[in-house]
Amino acid sequence: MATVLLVEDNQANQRLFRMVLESMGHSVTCACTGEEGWALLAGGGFELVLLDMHLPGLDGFTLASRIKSLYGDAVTVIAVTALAMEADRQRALSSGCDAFITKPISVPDFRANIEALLEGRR
Amino acid sequence: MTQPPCILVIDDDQSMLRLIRAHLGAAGYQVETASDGEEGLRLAESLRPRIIILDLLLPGIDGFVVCRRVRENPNLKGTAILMVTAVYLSEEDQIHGFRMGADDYLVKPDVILSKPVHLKELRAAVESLLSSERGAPTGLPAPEQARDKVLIVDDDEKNIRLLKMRFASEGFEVCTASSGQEGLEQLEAFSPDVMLMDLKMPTMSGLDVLKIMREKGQDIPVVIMTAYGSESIAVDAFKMGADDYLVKPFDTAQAVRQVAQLVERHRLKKSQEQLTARLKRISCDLVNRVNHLEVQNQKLEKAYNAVRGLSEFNRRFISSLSQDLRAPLSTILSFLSLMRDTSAKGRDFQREREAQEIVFKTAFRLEINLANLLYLSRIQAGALSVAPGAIALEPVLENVLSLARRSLGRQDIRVTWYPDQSGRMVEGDEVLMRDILVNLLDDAIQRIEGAGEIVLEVLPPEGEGSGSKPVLRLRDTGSRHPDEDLVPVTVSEIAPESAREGFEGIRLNLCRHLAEAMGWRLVLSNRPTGGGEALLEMVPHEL
Repeated sequence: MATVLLVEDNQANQRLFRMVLESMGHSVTCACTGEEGWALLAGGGFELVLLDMHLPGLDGFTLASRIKSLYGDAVTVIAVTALAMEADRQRALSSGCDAFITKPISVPDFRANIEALLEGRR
Repeated sequence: MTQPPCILVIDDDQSMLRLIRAHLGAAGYQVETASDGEEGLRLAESLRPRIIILDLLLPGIDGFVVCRRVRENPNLKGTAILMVTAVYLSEEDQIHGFRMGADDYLVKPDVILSKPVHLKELRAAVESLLSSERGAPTGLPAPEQARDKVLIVDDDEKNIRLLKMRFASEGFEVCTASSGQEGLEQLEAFSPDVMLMDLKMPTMSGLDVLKIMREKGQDIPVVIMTAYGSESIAVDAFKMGADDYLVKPFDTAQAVRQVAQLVERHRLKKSQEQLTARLKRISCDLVNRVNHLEVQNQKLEKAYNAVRGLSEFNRRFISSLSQDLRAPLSTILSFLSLMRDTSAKGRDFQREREAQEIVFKTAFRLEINLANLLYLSRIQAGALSVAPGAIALEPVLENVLSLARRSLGRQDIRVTWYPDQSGRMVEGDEVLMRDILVNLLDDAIQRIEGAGEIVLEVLPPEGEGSGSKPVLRLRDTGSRHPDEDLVPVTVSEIAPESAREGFEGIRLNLCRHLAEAMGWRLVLSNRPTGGGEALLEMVPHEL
């Protein structure tokens, strides 16, 4: 089972992702801002970062490229963007994100995506 | 059949009389002759000739006297005088003749011809005199409108007489002055087109006169007259602004030509100056127009920027709509997907209940946002009605707070209200005030995650007097707004600068509009210690 860092400022969405990920057996730590997420990462131990791209302050794009330049492939970064924001997805991938998921999520698809990504790491 | 024009020739030279009679008679004129002045005047009285051709030098009374008598005779008003002289051969006689005239004007002939007279020239002069009503001067091309005015300044009276006669006969209006001082006076009184001036005069020399008039800005052309051998003074005169010079003794015909040329040249110069001035005015006008256009252009640019600002505002507004409407909808859909998910092993009732609650709350928020959006569009369409009156703060706040406490649900938020002891009243619309407070509280509650605190307080007006306003302060421990979102944007002030700053979201924008509709003011900020602060500046109710 994996250790996941969730960076998301919307409380309802935080609850959603936590519920789904915990039901899959993963351990989830939450951060409300990019700065908070960056600080938690320094403590080490995270395999997966689920990152909302639109955060107040330090935004998801900047944080993603920081994470990738410091931790490389040790940390898998998944961008969370709104549906139909093609530009955001392209930007997310070019800032170093390994994958992206779109809101609103389909829980079965989300589950499958996460499992495939974790499989790929092993 | 019309009578041929009668011409009387007065000359003591019989050969001359015969010659003229033969020539003009052949041309069809009735020619009569007299060989002295007295006879000539007698004949003139009886014949009433159209023209008298008069020799200046006659036995008995001379040409000047005859001329004057003719002019004085009202019966001879229609008679033109053509004087024939040997001006350059016996100048002394002419001067003498001029002196005989008591009144200069009366001795003036219409035309002066110099001897020897060419018959062709004589006939041309006669025809010219006959074609004009009474005989206009013809020596030079007759000026079309006013005659050119020449001022002659000379202390030598003989010279003045000579020049005066010549210029007058050439169609000039002549004025004379016998000293420099008088010359300056005539310059003012007569305002000549050209000036003919002797350099050497007692008391005030021509140079002095020239200097004074040029200093005064008098720019009429000046011809100076110098004696032979004093050309060096002429050089000085040119330095002082003289335009031409004549060395005495000179041919008066030459003088007339020079003067006429000068007048013409001066006129050209003047019209050129006028043209230049006009061009200058036009170019100034053009520059002004260009400046005006530039100002207009700037205004257009400003308007263009405002429109761009408006579209920027729209962009922000739409992005804010996406945040206010789309995000909750997305959350609801995601949770619905979770609730429908059957792949999870076993049912987790607690989880399901929590999901339901979140969906409910989010749907509720979405509904509020939509309602606020409609409210906002009503305000912006100018359909908001304000019913101002006195509002007692206490009951309104109690009511709003009880509503807010109910909507807290499971959130552990302490809401504190410090009642206003003064029982202060404010001026506004109670319904609008309620809407503002409900939304401000809801905004705070939404930003507080889990546990937190909201504190409401009425701050007493700063200082006394009618200008001081009570302020309702709402502080919360919620997460901070992105700072840029607190910059107000109203449709009425779509300056591009502020439109760039972001949009505060439907709810806060609505609050601001409601406050402004009552003349109140809403200031939103983040506190340095975290959380937000709203200051609602109200209008005090005056008893």
